[in-house]
Amino acid sequence: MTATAARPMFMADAVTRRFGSVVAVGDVSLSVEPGQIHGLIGPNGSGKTTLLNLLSGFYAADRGRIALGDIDLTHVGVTRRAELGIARTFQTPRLLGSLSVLDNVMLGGWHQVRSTFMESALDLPRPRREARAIRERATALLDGVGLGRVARQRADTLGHSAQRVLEIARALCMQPRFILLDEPAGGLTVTEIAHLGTIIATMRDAGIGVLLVEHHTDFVFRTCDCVTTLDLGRIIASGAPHAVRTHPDVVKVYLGA
Amino acid sequence: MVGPAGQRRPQTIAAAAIALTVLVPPLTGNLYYVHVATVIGVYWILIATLNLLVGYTGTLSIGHIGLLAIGAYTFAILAGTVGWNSYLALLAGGVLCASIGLLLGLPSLRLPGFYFAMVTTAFGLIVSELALAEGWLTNGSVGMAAPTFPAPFASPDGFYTLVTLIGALVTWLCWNLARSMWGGRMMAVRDSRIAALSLGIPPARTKLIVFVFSGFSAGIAGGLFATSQSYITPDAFTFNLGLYFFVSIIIGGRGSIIGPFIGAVLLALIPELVGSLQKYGTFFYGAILLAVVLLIPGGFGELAARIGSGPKAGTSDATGTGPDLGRLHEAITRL
Amino acid sequence: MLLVLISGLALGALYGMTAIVYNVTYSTAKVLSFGTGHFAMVGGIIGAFLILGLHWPIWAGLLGCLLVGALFGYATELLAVRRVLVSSDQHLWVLSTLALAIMVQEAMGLWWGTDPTPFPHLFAQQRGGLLDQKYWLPIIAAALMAGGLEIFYRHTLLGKIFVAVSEDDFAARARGLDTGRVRTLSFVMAGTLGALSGFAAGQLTFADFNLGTTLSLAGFIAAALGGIGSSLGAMVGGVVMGLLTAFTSHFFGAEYQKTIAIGLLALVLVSRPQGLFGRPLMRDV
Repeated sequence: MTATAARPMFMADAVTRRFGSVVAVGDVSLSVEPGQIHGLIGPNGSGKTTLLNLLSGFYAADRGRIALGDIDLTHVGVTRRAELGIARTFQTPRLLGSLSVLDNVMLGGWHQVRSTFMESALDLPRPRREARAIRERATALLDGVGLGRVARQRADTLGHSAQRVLEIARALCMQPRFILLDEPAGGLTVTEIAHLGTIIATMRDAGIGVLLVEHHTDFVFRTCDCVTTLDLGRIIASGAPHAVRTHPDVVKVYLGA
Repeated sequence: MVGPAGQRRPQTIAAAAIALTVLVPPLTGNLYYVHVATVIGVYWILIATLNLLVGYTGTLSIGHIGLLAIGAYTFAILAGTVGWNSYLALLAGGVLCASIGLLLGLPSLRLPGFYFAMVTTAFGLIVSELALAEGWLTNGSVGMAAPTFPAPFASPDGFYTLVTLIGALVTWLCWNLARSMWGGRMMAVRDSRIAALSLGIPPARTKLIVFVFSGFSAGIAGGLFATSQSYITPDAFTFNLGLYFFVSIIIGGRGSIIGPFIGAVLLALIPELVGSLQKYGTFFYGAILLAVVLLIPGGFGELAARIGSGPKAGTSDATGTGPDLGRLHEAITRL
Repeated sequence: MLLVLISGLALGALYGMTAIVYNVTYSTAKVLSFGTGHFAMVGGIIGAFLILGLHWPIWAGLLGCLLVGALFGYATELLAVRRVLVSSDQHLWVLSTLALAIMVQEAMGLWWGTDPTPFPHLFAQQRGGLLDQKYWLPIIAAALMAGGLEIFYRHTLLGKIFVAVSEDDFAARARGLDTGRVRTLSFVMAGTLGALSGFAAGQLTFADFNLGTTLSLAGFIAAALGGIGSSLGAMVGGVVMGLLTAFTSHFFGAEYQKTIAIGLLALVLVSRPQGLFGRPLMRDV
């Protein structure tokens, strides 16, 4: 097995997406490696979320290519990308409020379920076994992120920060190779951000590639191994945190505007 | 699927209560009561699986009345005119309706909900028009007789037993699905299509599978309906009956099985008990539907669950505990 | 054969008008009301009631009918749309507008009776046939409605506000437009136009409480066929649908009227959901 096949990279190659006459993302190339935290920053409207939607497959690219290792994902739909190991969270957590916290996490295990609709309807052993395995994993993940005690509550009884963490746990239940986080620190307190940072670092240490889209530049520079800055849909700087932080264009965008 | 804490016991009690109620009609010895109970049972066989579609996946099918009609005519034609074995004819109606479900759903379930609602409305209208037009097959407005089932299910009590058995089987299947991981999958499709997609759950396929399943059971219900009426005409399959299926589910509550059951029984009984309501029946259905949608969109089932369960939204915030990183690492890395 | 053609065009005009009414509410509220066809049903019955029942002059009957249509439109927005849109649950408005449509339909059936009754002639007329006003009235009304709406959207301030809200609700609100009020107005307008279409086509359809659902369906298919949002598309879709209905019932018999037209068009829609002229459906994240 070659190195690329064993540890594939997730990358966008010269991707462009327009809305009408506006270029939301223009000619952006970026790659996330396994076991790496890649930060994506930029002012409002710079195209961060659009890029994330392009990577997860919610938007189709007008030009350019998206790939996971040797697999070309450019024309692959959202659900297939999820099956191939690309997980994501949303700016506003999209949880199922009427389900329990545990059931929300278990939804992340769906694409590994092999038993059929009728097997579930007849309550046969295979769907039970699969559900048990996924429940165990989900429980362990909830304990790990610190939500073990509320596993049986309805998800809409959780507060804002707990909902964000829950969405991350659900994404982890997919056993993803890459995870795309859309402003996970938004609305969190300092302590909560610190907890989030340790969770993200643990994900990296476990070999997952993380793309962190974030407003909190301090948090990004502290947490990430590599940072890309977007402005008006284009990359203005990319590289190690300290280099990007002092890059004149980045300074101008953040202080000048 | 575990469901919100503390919901299991009341549900078991409710199930036991229903099982007991089901025994009552034959014990009264009144044939009319047995007939009413049989018809409600037949409706429930359709409603139980329609509930998975409407209540769990949030897909509005208004044309199930058309499937009921096709099931009924298939049964009357195959078991009556052609002379097939009754059970085989019943099964054939189910298979035919499941196939129609596949044909209808495959192209239209990809589209926004209103499209599917309209496609199924059109389907319902077309079926009723064809039942009238194709006299060579259906006897047109004259209608056709429907055979009964062989003993021991030939008598009214016997047929009621058959309907009850099939009803219990269908309820058990739906119950298993709702409790299994399918329960969450269907609700994910209903409440957040985008979350479902991002988790690798295909919404259109999920709805299609459920629609085909509910088509099958609607076909079976149709065959039983034909026998319960002993004679069917196109008039038996009114839009209003289709509306009744729909309204029982909405008032009973989305994402509940017992709620729609109670809804189906009550809605069928009220016009029986209050004769004057019969004339206003459809208006009444519309009014209930509007009131429930505006005041308790979750239906009475959810209302009851909300009153029953403790903490309200957003009350139990911060867990107080930080992450357990060792456990997390272990959970992520193990295969 | 010419008679089949003209009756198809007249029916198509009614379907096209219903499709336009769909567009009016869809543009501002992004809601397709199940009761869109019921506006026309109410228009037909109220018109017949005022002119034949109460012996009002025709102009007063028309005014009264439009007023009731406007009220129905307002009630739709107030009862079935406003509260439901807040909850952001995608399919609730389908249910609430369906519920209201059923209530209105049944109320009309109980009050007016369930048998279709004739609608008065609006002009004295010697001969029927091709020149019969029952064919020309809906066609003229449809032309006036499509043209009038075009002028309204392009050349009046209120019309331009409607367009702004339909294009970008959020931006319109940011610029200080009261989008809620625009939505209410658009439903009032939809009710009025729907009642007008029912009044104009009254002699063709009769005053029939049962007309609503069929018309909601046919109008929706026409709107979707033409691409939702386009007046011209709505008219073309309506005419296609009307001609198909007229010719199939001529050749195959009236008992297949709905089956063939609706079936065929539903098939087109399902295979080409954006309509014959529309752009592909966009889905937002």
